[in-house]
Amino acid sequence: MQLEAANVTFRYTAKGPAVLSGVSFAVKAGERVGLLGPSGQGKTTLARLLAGHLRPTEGRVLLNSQPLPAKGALPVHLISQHPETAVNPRWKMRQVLEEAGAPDPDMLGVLGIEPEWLERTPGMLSGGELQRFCVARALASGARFIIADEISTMLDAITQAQIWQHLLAHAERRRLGLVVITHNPALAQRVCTRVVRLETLAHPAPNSASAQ
Amino acid sequence: MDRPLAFDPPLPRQNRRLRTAVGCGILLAIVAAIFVAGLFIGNAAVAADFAQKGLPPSWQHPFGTDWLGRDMLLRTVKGLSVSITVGAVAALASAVIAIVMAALAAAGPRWLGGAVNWLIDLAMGVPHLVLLILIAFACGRGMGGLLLGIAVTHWMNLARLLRAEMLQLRGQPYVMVSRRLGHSPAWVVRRHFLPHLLPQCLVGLVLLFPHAILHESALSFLGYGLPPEQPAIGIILSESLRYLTGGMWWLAVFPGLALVALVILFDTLGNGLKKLLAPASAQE
Repeated sequence: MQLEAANVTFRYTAKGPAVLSGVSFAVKAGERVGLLGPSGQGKTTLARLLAGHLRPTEGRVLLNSQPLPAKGALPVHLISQHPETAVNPRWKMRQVLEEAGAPDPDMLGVLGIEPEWLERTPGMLSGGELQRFCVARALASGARFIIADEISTMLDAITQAQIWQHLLAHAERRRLGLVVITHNPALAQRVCTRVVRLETLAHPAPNSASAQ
Repeated sequence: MDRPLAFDPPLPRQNRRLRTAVGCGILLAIVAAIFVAGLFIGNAAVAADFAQKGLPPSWQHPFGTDWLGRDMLLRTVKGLSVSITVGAVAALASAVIAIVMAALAAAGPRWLGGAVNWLIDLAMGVPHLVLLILIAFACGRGMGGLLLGIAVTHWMNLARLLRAEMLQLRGQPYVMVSRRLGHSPAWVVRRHFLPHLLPQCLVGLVLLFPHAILHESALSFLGYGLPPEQPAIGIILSESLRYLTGGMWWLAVFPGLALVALVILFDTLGNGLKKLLAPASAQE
């Protein structure tokens, strides 16, 4: 299995600047690719394109060489940098998890999710606690590819280590493809099988600067 | 260590919710009582009785009687009952228009959203009463024109609010996640959108009531609304003008106060519901 962005260009508005211009990127099952790059260069945009939350202005996003379906289920799951916007604030955490499929109680224990948190709404949990739920949801969804967009940036070191440990264990066991977006080269070196920098991904490099 | 806490401890907060809920229940019961009482007051109860004409307020006639000897308390209750009916129908029609407009603006193509926005701005730019009088006048005097007029002049605020809410919801990451997990649009609307929008609709609906009631009375008072044989508050007030100079102050004061009380009651009810159902937006 392979998830691929083929020569993708993206603009948020028809006449706006190209956030991404001619970017190509691929991740295979069982691979963990680190994606590094400065702020504001389109890392999150690329993540949203790969997860099917946005559609490219030009170029294509391919799953097993087929274009991503415009609607419907997708075996690609995006874990966002902001867990508080990724869960419905009116739902109990149990509903949030069940939206992706029945959560495995063992997995919840391993991720450090206390059973009583399930009956709370997102407002009653901290960012780190919510991010554990987002990881649990991603794993329960049966996705074959998980895009982790700076998922541990705002967490303390211990929580960070715990979350990564479990995510990596799952990815290893189920041969998931993982895209790890981060500002932290040390983290990327530690968890990834290969690391790329965003600015090296654009093919028609000469035009990328003037396209702004 | 007796310093008051900067945040509400859990118990009193629960009590305030409970208090609001009980308050809303009581207000709702009062409204229902007025409405039902109005239905049971037949024409015979407010028939002319010249033996009792022009009596000031007394224990027997707390609101006094008019120049035909009709009991003003009964007439006022009957008038309020009519007002509640008009308010309910007009507010409901307004809310339906608002929901349809908001859905068109949020879910439709871009040009449609622009058109709806333009329509909202246009309708908001025209003074309510002028538009109301025009429509009521064009439809001829009576209930139909009145309801139509109120319905088409009161939907804009709610439509604008709902449109903004829908647009904001549509772009939420959790809605994206839900779609990409394979849930159908109908599922997403039912599980993610409706629970969020329903309270806003309900609160908006109840808060439309006082506007509708006041405009109904104003139109009737000016002679463009309900016909004179209908016992509406606006009719009562405009009739009383002719007798005020004769010293019959109670003809205007009590029905007027009752109307203000009803409006305040609905406003309180709406704000209470807002606190109960949409706590996050209650402070706006």
